[in-house]
Amino acid sequence: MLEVEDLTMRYGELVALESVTLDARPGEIVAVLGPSGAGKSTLLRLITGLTRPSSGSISLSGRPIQKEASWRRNIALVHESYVLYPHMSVTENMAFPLKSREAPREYSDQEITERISEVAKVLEIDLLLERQPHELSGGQRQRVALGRALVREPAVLLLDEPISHLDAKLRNWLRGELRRRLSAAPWPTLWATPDGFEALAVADRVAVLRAGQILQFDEPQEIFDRPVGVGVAEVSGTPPMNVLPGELIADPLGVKVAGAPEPLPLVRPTQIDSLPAGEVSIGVRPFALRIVRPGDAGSSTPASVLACEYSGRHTVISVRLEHETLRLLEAGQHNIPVNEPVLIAWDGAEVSIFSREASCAGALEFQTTVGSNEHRAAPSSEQPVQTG
Amino acid sequence: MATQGIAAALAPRGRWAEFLQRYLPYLLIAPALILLILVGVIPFAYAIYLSLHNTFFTDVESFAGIANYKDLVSDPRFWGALRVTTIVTVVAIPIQLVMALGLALLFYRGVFGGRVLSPLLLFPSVLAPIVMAIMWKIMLAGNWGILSYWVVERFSLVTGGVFGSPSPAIGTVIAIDIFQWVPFLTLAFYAGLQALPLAPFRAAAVDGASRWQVLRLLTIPMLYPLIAVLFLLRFIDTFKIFDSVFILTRGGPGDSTTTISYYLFRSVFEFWEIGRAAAAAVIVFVLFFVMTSIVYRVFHKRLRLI
Repeated sequence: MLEVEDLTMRYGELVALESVTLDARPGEIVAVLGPSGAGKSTLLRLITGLTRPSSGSISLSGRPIQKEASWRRNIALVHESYVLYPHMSVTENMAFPLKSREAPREYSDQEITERISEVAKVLEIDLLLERQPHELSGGQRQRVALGRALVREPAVLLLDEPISHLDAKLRNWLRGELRRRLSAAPWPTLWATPDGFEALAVADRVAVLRAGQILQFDEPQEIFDRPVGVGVAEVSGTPPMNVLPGELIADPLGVKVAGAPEPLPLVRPTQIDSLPAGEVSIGVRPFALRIVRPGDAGSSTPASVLACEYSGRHTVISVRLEHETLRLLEAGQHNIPVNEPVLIAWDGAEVSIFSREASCAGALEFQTTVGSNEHRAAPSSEQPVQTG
Repeated sequence: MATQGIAAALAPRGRWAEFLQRYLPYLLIAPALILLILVGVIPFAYAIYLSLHNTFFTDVESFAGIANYKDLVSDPRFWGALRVTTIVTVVAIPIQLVMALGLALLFYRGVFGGRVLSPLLLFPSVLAPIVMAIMWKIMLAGNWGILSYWVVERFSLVTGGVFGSPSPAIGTVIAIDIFQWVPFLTLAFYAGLQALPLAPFRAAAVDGASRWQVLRLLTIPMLYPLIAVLFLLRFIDTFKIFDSVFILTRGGPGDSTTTISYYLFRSVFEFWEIGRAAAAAVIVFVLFFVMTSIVYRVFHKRLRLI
């Protein structure tokens, strides 16, 4: 069990991490999701002990470790920049932690060989074992770095963007494979990534980190369905939630958006009273938007097409609405010419409303989400485009 | 238009340009090549020429075939000189490298205040070898030098002075070479340590390696290229050791500290056996060439260094 409490890291004036609190149970994968510069790597480095925190505590199974030397902590770390031992072969690199003095137990040569070949097969580096790091490609190095951590039996495993530099096929395969292995492991895993999709896919819980603060620490579905603020909404989902400014109108319930001729309707508000009146930020998932034909029922808003990105089952269509760019997901292939005027409609049940203050990352005192799970489950008259 | 004009102006034109384009590389390396031929190839060729002739003082007389070489190979003093040189090289260099690496690691860890002391380290290296040798000679002189009186005599380390019998004499020559070169090597290692990337050491800390493992598995292997270069430099230099021998022992007692350079010096300027000395120089060169190639090959091919 890894527990991080109130962890703060300052570099002079700069606050890299502020009061970060999170925990991870054995066999649990906790994703640390945030854009670059959010403090993900700093958090991992503090846990390894390579950097000492300004304040706060870190404990492993109830034992405080923040004053312990890193080499005594038995923590495995996969660096974002790989950091292989340059003069050692792949095998030697992977054997290094097993042969080190602070390994949790003694490994026989035969066991070391077995562990390495087992992990190497999973990572598809079993044919590279005799190579030197300088003979490997970036993706291969990343897998060796991953392998060096996976052969171990650490107290906690830290992965800093472990599969970010792999090709798509391998990334997809390893995401599932790593999740399978690590969920069965008797140690907790922290998985840092800037990729919202990856975080939701691999993690049991997701900590959304932005500008050194944890905005939300919850299960993936909560992160996706009930983001506590714009900062969270913008990083989860592929493509992420559209966020645009608007004005809340009470009767009939809707929001006024610049560029839309009439207010866009909202369905069954739950916590609308707690919102400050007037200016809000509106979050709309791409699948809650769709293109309609003139004369279709319901309200629609004119917009113009910026780009169409076809991805097999869906097309991501970017449209311009006054000053805002929205992305929406349509099933099938669409190739609408650029600047073509279209009409867009939205599913009022799939909209999140954030107070304007919450738009600034970190300040999240007022927030609410309109549209809950039950709304999504119930088929509405306006069928949203389903994500695959 | 403007860019076209510039391109046209820059493009080589005419015979002169063609000539330049073709021969410029040769012109550029010519000065270095000429210098190398003047100071390296011609003297060496002349040495080969001399080694095949009979000489009388500085006069070159009749062609002698391989007589000089035959003489030399049957001269026990030549083999003795080679043996002494090899002993000095084989003993001094490893000690120098190990001591220097140890000191550099201590400096790197901040022991002794490395920054303050590092300029002082250069002292023995910037002193002229002759001055250094004279200094040692005075300190170790007879039974009245400061070291021979207070250390050697007091603890009865050696009877009859350090230069009085063969082994202590060689030992002293080696010790002085170590004293002279350890500081320079320490500085080189200190710089090398500072140039090492930090990331692998951080990774090793997380991987739970002990200090000894880090030193043995990371620090030293990552310093191999530097160690190889320093070894090669010291090997070439030590093999030619002359000044300290010349000042301290004149090759004695007997021939016990006569190194190959000192043997050559005596052959020419004491015995005036120029042909034979030239033959010795040629043999030493060939030996040296072979050994350096082996060292280079080991470093280059086996260890993938240099």
